Amino acid sequence: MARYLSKTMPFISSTDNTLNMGADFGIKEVKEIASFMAESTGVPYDRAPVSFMKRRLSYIFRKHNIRNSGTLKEMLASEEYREKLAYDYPVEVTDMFRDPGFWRYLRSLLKCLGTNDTINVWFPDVVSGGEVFSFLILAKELGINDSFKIICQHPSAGRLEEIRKGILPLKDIQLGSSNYVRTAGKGVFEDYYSTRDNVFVFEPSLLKNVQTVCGHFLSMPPPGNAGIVMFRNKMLYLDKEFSAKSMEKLCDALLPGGIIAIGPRERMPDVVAVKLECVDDKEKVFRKHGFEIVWGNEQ
Amino acid sequence: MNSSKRYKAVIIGGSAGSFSVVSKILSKLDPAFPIPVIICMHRLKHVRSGLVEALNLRSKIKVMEPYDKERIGENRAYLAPSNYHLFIEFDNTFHLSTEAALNHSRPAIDYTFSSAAYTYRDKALGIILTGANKDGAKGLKDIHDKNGTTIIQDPASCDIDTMTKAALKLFEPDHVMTPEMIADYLNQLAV
Repeated sequence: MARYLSKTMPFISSTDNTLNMGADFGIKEVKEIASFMAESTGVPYDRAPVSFMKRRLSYIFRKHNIRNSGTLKEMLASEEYREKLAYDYPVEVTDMFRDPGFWRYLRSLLKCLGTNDTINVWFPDVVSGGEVFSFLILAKELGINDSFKIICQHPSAGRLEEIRKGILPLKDIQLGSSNYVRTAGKGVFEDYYSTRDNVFVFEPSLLKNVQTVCGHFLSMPPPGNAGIVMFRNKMLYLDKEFSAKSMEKLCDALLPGGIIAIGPRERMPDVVAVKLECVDDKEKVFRKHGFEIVWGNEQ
Repeated sequence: MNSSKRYKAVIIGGSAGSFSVVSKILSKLDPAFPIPVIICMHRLKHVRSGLVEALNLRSKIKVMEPYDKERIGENRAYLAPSNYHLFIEFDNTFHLSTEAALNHSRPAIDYTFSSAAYTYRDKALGIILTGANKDGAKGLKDIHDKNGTTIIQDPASCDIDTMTKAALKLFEPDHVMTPEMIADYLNQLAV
């Protein structure tokens, strides 16, 4: 480890590596650096596809102006830097109502929710509020927003603070707006947010049932049984083995009859698929066997 | 002429006007063409279906949109899915990503070319086609710099030549070809 962490990287200005592909990291170096980051933080930075780790480390070194891995090691001793890393490392998903077909399908499911109990909706790895706010708008327009407790979890306290405040650093609000129209939203998308200091701030009343949990979901017990788990496009950034391990944990936390959503180009690991029924193959929505949560006229 | 065993993949990038060119190339391929063909085309973010079906109408090899972590197989063409970047992993699988758009594009051709360059090095064959922005030029240069083979569609045969001219400004490719020549060249690799 020390051999790699003391080595100076021949790194990398934004002009000579504009594609941010991490060209100057070898595979072994990438794995060793990511492993050290994981040991220092408890966040499994080392359980991602290698090309992603390579690219992302390149991005972090440039963004944080780090010129060698020894410096990174020193910085990781600081709690403040560990938070900065947890904030900056993950990929933001800022599109609101990404995949309108998914949100239309979710609306059709929520419409026929057959229970009066409050249902936990768990976002186990939520980097930014795009999907959370999309869910809240959908529930509000159905008049059932008080039926849900929204639990947002992430290792970065800063990310969670932004969600609690309804902040979304959207680069392109137009995309969210057009997606909302394609989702067949009932209202006017622009009524749900205001613009302040170059960020978009969502209507505070939407957020009243949102709770946050700081920490990585695999290193902590689940925050209660969930009726809905939103894990869309999250396995993209986990290796195959860790994807399966993650999905097992999420599935175990899901109530019988509850649903879990993954990204449309992700595959449910076999070890978990046997416990679930695929209710929409195109949008990759799965339902856990059993009937504690009932949808529509089933049972 | 290089044998088909030399190349691990053919990587094609295109934007405006490239659908008909890609479709023509795929329609002229030998049905037994063994080398995986990886296609990254600019496409609408919110339209997930239709393009792969349209390419399959004329293609001589099966065209599919890969899932994340899917193994790359022979005698197949793979189209980058809408709203995902398409990378090639070192274990010869695909890695999809929702990282920020590059060159206003997701999928970005630069990313696919560049990851192919790092994974396949001199065993990558990159082809850039007609298009209206510069995406793909730097990535194709990465293939060139790793001693892979590069083909640029003859700008005179492009609907819009911005993309091909951007690549030509960066480096000297191995070949400048019309779509018909590209198809013939690929088929000779399969002999």
